[in-house]
Amino acid sequence: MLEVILWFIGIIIIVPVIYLAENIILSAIPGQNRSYPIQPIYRLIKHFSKTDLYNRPLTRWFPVGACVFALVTLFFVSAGENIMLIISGLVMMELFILVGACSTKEPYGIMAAQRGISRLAVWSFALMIAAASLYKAAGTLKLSLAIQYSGESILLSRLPLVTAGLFTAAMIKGNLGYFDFGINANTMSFLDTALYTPYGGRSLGFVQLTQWIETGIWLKLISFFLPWQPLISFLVSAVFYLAAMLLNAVVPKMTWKKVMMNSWIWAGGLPAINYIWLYML
Amino acid sequence: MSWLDGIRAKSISVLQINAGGCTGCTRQFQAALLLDSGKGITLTGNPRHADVLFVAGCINNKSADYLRQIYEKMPSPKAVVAAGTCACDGKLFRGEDNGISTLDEILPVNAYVRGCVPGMDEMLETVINVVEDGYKEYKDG
Repeated sequence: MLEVILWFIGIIIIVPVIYLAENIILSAIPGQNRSYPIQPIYRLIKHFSKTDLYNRPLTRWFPVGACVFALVTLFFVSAGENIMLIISGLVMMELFILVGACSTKEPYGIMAAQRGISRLAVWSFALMIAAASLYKAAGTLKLSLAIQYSGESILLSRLPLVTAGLFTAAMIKGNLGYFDFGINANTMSFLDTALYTPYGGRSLGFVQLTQWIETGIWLKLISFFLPWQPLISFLVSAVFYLAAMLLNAVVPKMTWKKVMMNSWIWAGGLPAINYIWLYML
Repeated sequence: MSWLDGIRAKSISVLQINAGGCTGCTRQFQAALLLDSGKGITLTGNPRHADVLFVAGCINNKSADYLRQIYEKMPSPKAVVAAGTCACDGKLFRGEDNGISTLDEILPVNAYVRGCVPGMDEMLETVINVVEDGYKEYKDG
């Protein structure tokens, strides 16, 4: 139980640390906006100190519900529970935010929710294929039992594309997977952070907190597939995520249509290919 | 200054609105954000995420309606800054009945930054001071 509690706290702490590292590195790059090292924490406190302005009183409770589901899912992932439980928790959390966005009854809120649903379809597909592949490779869905296979590099050697697909899905969830390396890149509108659009004030604080916890859940989930000790695997996945965040700050973004096409190819396609390959082995 | 206002002043989201002008003030402000004194200030395009509404340019009847709508969508506490001569008093463009208003006729203004174009540091200082002072209304005379 102590190990579970330590993981629970560690996962909560690692995401602000990643944000802080990103801020420190970015503020040293010329041409980037200046920021304080702990600006993400300042921003969160600021959001919680503001009021909500919604025409529907229930709207403000949906982000709170999402945050509760994120905490419960974080406990499951810390305890190495069944991957299906973790998927259910993540989906419920996302649904709470989507329903909250819809309930604002604003055109931007509904548009953001539509985009959130298309994104949900991609990453939940990736997670389901990952669960099926895990069962095929390790014979169990319980992550604490599957971890013995990852220690002998069996999981990574049999599920390399699933691991890559899950990392891509994590980037999509953190609004990072929209890089456009072409010279004709378009800058996306503020709607690239789709689900944040209709939320403001305290609700935005809860949404942001939920996203922090969720990022930690994804990093821990990916670390189960990596071949090193659990702590080292977790830190490696965190470093990769930090690299993606830094890339995100300097590389142009794609338009929404391109984003969804690429999401299906990388986050949906890679695990699917891996699953078919497992059957052919 | 309370500790909360101090924290708020370290993470200010500014929504810039060019109500109808030469865009000089807004561009000057964007350039000012690259200075060290603009630390912690970010631009946002979403009223729900904004703390300070930064208005520049002459305000006509059409843009006045949009300004009111945007202001209503911002969560409290919030501040309005009038930047440049056009937003502060209309100056050259304000005739007798040509539909041009000053910002304080439309919204409760917290601070004015006069000049055409106002200095970078003045604009940054005004935005930070408004938040540090707890979003109180004050005027430069």
